[in-house]
Amino acid sequence: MKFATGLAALTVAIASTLAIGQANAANEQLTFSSNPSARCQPATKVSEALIRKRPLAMVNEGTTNATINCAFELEARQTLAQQVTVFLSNSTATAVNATCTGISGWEGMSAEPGVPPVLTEYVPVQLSVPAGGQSDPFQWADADFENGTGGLISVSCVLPPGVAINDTYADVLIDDAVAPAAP
Amino acid sequence: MANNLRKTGPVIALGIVVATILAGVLWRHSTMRSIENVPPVARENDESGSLQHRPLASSQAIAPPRQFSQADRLRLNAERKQKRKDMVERARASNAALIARHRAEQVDPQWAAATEARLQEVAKMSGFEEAVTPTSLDIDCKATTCKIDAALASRTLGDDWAMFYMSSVGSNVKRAFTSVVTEPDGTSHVVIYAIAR
Repeated sequence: MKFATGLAALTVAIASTLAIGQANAANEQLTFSSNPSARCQPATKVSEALIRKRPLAMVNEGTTNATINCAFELEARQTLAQQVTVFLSNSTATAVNATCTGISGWEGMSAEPGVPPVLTEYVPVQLSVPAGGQSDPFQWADADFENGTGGLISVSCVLPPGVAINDTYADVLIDDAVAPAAP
Repeated sequence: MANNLRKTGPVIALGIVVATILAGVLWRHSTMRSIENVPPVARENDESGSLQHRPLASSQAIAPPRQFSQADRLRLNAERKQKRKDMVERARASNAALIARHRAEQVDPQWAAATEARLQEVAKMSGFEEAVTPTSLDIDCKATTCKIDAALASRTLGDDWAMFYMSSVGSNVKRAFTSVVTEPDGTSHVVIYAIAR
C-alpha cells in the first residue's frame, strides 16, 4: 500500500510539472508591420486628389494639406497591451510640424440601440518632421486612452505638402494562458 | 487466492489508473512539442530549382482546421457585447466627470484667452475645405479645459469638420472627447470637451 501511495504521489507530481509547463506560457510580443497603402486611405475626395499611393509611402503631392486615416488589425481577445505606430517622412527642403490623432472605439459609441452615444476619445500628437527626413514615431498605446480602446485604434493625420505617411506598426502583447480583460 | 486478490487488487487497479494518467499527460506534452517544432514554412525545390515557400501541410494535419460552432458564436458575441458595454460605461462615467470639471472650473483669464485664440486658429488651417466652415464656432476655455461647439449645415459636414479639427489640433490639446449631434432640421453640432493643459 505504501508503494501505491508513493506511486500516486509521483504521478501527481510529474503531471503537475508538465501541466504547469503548458499553462504558464510566457508573454509574447507580436509586431505586425505594413507600408501604409494596406492600412491608410485619404479621408475625402479633396485629399484623394492630393495623395499619391506609392509602394512605400502615401505622399501629399499637392499644395495644400491632406487628411489621411489609418486603421489597424489588432488582437482583441487575449491582449494584455497594444500599441500602434506610424512614421512620417518629408521630401521638402524645410522642416514641418505634422499632427496625427489617435482615436479609440467605434462610430456612435453606444452599447445598446436607442441609447445616446458617449463622446469619442481623441489623443493628438504633434511632431516636427525634418527637411528631407523621417519623423520620430507617432505612437498610441491602449494605456494612452482614458477609457481603453475596445481593441480598436485608428489614426488620423494631416499631411502638409511634401509629407508622406510611411511605415506603420501594430504591436500586441498577448498571454494565451489567461483570459485578460478587454484592453 | 481470494485473500491474495483482495490484497493486491486495489494496488493493481491504482497502478493501471496511474499508468493511464501518465501516458495521457506524456502523449499530450509530446503532441504540443511537435506542433511547436514545426517550422512556419517548408522550403522545397520545384522543377526550376528555385526555392518555394509554402505553408507546411503537416501542421494542418496535426491541428485540423475547426469551425466556429453555434455555441462558439454565441459565446463570442456575448463576450464582445459585454466588452462594448463595459467600455461604454467607462466612457460615460469619464465623460460626465470631464463635463462636470469644465463647468466647475474657475476661469484663468490669461490662459483661457490665449488658448481660445489658438484653438480658433486651428479652425482656419489650410486643410479645411471651404464647404466645411462652421456656421458658428464657440470656444469656451476655463483653467485647464475647453468646450468647443461648432454648428454645421449637415451631419456629413459635422463629421468632416470634427475629423479635420481633431486631426489638426496637435499639441494645442492633450486629450479630447467629441460628439456630433444631428439636429431635427438636419444641421449638426460638433461638441468637443478638451483637456488643454
